[in-house]
Amino acid sequence: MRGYLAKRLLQAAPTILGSILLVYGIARALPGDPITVMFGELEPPPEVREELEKHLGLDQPFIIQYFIYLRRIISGDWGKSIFTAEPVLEFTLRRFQATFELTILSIAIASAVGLAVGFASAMRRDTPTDKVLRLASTAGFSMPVFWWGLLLILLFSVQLGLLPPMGRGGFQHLVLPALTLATFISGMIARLTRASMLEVLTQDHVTTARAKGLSETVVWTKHVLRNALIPIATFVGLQFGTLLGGAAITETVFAYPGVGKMVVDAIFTRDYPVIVGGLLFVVIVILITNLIVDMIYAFIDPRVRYERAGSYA
Amino acid sequence: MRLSIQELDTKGRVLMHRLGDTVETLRFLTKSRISAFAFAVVVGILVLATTADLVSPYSYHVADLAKRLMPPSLHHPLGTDQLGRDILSRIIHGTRVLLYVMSMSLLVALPLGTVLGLLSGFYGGVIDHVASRIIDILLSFPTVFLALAIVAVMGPSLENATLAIGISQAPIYMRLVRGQVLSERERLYVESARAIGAGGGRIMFRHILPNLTGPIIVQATFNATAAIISAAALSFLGLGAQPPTPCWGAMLYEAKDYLRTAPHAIALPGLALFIVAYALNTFGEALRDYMDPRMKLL
Repeated sequence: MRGYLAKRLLQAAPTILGSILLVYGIARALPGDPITVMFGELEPPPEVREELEKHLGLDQPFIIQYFIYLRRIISGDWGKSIFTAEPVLEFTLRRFQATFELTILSIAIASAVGLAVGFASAMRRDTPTDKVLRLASTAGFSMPVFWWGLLLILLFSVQLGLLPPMGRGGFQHLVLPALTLATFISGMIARLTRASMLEVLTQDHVTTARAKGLSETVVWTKHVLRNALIPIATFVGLQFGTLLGGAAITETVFAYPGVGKMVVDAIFTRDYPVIVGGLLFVVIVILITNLIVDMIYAFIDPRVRYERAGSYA
Repeated sequence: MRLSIQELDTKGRVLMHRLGDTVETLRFLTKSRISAFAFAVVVGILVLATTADLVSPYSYHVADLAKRLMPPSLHHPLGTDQLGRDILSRIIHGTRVLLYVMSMSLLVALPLGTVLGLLSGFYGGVIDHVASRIIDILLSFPTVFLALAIVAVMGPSLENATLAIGISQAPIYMRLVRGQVLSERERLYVESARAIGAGGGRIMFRHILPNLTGPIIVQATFNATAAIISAAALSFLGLGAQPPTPCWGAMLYEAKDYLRTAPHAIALPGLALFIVAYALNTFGEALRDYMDPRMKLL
């Protein structure tokens, strides 16, 4: 196990460095170099510009600049927002709280609904019930979230007046955006649950369990569901990471102040430090979550540690 | 060149055989009611996109402010939008945007992903290590954020959004092809090709690649759905198609301030997008079952 973890961490290092390099490349490709951004409309005198370039390391080769940038972000200096002058890291972390709440609720609803639908679908395989549930889950993951979000606002806020259409406040502000995201994810979880349960069902240990005379309830819950959960857990973990990075579209529909909406807003206001900081944050959160998911996966399924250790995981 | 009777006969048989295959494929893809519906939607998009100017009752871009935000009526079956434009005509012209997004993102993603996947699966070693890290890095950027970054650098337009979607889909093909090549390269036909002296490039492109078309086509169908939804989403944020392009996502973006007064202007373009996404996903599933019956579980 320890060997696997070490290997996995070693593999993650170049990916993380590479991702940060990509973000840095994007940062440099954005219109306006750091000095122009600093001075706004005014053009600084050439000698001031030269002095500043030296000070900021902009006269160094790209790769050296990248390492200067790495040192800066590790020490927590992610730059400041052009508009509010608030440090980007603090700003992002504050937004992250909102995104975190939304993620937890969405994943909880999606897992509960997705597992129940998938389980029912697999147990009633090839019956009309199964057909309807499969149609519903395909509908779920074919749903354009921005449209679905607007329809939910139309029904629950405009027509019924039950829930607030936008913003962040109490629990009721979370319901509609969480439902929107959960619809999409639960559709995928339901399909995956059904497929993976039906696959486990064909395995020998299930036949053995039945031959032993175990009741169908025990076979389905203890033998089929438990083994089927492994791929589902991985999928949910990966989705969790993606959502933690901010659901840019859903957050925008509901004017929900998370990380995703922060980046979208920053693009409109051309607040470049915030765009770059937001992207960096998203990528780091996703990579770390994926790493954790992989480790949990190796922990619950010992086969992974042996099979994957040698190859690309 | 003149063909002998025998050659003609062979050619004729091959042609008949192919025709039979096509008929069989079509029969399979339209077997159930739902997959027949999906197939009809896909054909419908192609027909509408090619005949948009003929079949749409009004122009998609000429505004008529006297008729703004009218609910569906006999004159305007799907109503009008905030500038008095006929929504039905805009939805019909929007199928061209769909085709543009699907084909262009495919043109970016497929060659890039396939070539890198072939190289890394076939040669292994350093190439594979580097390529695998590139996959990891690109996959750690969610499509929307990668697109946001590209749009931030290059400015908002449908072309840039489509380019971003293509780039973000390339690693999906790369991973798929790489995985398939790893198992294919151990097969006997590759060994035979090597034995008669075929080089790496020839083996990859003439021998292995044709065997991967099935999974690639299936993946391309699912990616097409993802591409049109992402493009519509970016347009909905105001970062994709710009007015007056009749992109369905942009129609939602323009109409969202009139949610209370004209819900049809939101509901209908979105419904069109949902139906197409649903049909393409179902179509992809039917294709997958056809190509690989073992996958029928999903």
